[in-house]
Amino acid sequence: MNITVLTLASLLYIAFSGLTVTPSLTASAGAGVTDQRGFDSAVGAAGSFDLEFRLGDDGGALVRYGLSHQAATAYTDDWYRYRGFTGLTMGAGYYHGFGPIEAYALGGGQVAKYENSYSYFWFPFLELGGSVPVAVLGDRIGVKAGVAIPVYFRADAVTAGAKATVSFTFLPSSRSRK
Amino acid sequence: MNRTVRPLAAILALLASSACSMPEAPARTALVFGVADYEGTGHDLTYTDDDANSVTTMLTANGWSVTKGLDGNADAGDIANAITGLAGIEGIVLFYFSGHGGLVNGESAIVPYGTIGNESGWITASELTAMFKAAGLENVVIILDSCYSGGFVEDGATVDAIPDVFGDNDSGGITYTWFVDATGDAIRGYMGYEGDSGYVVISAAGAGESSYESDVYGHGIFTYALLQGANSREADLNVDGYATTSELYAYCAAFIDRYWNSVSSDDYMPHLSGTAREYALWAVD
Repeated sequence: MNITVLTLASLLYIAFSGLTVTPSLTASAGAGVTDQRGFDSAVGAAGSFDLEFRLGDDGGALVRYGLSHQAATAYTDDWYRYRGFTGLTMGAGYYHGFGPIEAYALGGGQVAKYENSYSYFWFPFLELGGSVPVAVLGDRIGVKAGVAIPVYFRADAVTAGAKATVSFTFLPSSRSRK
Repeated sequence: MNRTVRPLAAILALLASSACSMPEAPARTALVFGVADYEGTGHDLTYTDDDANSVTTMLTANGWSVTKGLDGNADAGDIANAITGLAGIEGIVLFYFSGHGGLVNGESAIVPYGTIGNESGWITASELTAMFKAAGLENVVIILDSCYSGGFVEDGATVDAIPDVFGDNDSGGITYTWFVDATGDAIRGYMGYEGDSGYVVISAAGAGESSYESDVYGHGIFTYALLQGANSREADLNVDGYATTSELYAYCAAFIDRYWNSVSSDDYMPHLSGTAREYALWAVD
């Protein structure tokens, strides 16, 4: 699979779909609990920066590209912990507005590398989340705050988390404040 | 702080505090073997017994309970019996071997004393894993300073960017320099994953290459790096007060690449298991 081609193809679709495209930058921080069969679970901090494109008005497809970090977890009683890793994510999903709340469901994959190693791995993920607008900066930047619940289906472990999110959305001129 | 943010902040603070507290050290038991004086004189090594002695000293100083076997006390039976004798033990078990390594029907093996001319007596990767599994041990760290020891390293659900034969002189550089390069192989690794032992293995060299001793260091080069990292506390790369298996690996790999590979045509690289877990081996004062 050529991820570069897939990325370019998705960007081309976004650009030429003819739909309203709303880009946003999102920063998130939170924690995830990792569990491996036969071993104790442990919690570690997590964070990400994402570039997202939402197609349509008040509902439609969304495409996300991001940089994610899962810190090494706390140690268990046997002095092991789950290794930290950093990865690139790519996902697609659907969003819909429910009054002031904008909810979404996202699925995709992450290619990651364990810290202090040359070991790379990939896994699919699902994420549910929602946000509410909290501010407008100038006429074109909308600020939203929200929460996200990601689940990483790793081949040898599962990581589930909760994150607080802050998004900066570039509002199309038709929706900017007059 | 409003009503919504306050409980969220409390949860995050709880998570952060739980992430920072370190449990009391578990029981830590090590088996250390070194074979320099093999049968006859044609296959003797120079520093592998010194490796085992120094590793024993280092581990003992760092809170490990160590059983050591050198030369004639490091035959296949000694190794097997030592592992069997750990059945039921709690905590972490560390197995260290410095000596010859070889290949048995393409599978990496360590060469115990008394078997230098008899491959059937060598202990293969699958046999060593089976010994620990038969003893019911789950928290196992294996460190090998021997040729072809990378064959003991399971990639698990990962793909290793370091090839089995590494180095400019062998056309075996780092396979991936960017995440995107690794994606295809990583996805295939995910799809093809069938499980692994869960043990953490750090090998001095790849599955297809030799590891070396040094007259300058008076040790195997990998073991010298391991001792340097431990004794200098520099293996605690993130300075959190604990040296982990991943940090020790990264330290040794960087040391070998910088101080040996840069000046020798016999370049090689250590390897680390792809398991999701890592172990703290000792506290750094």
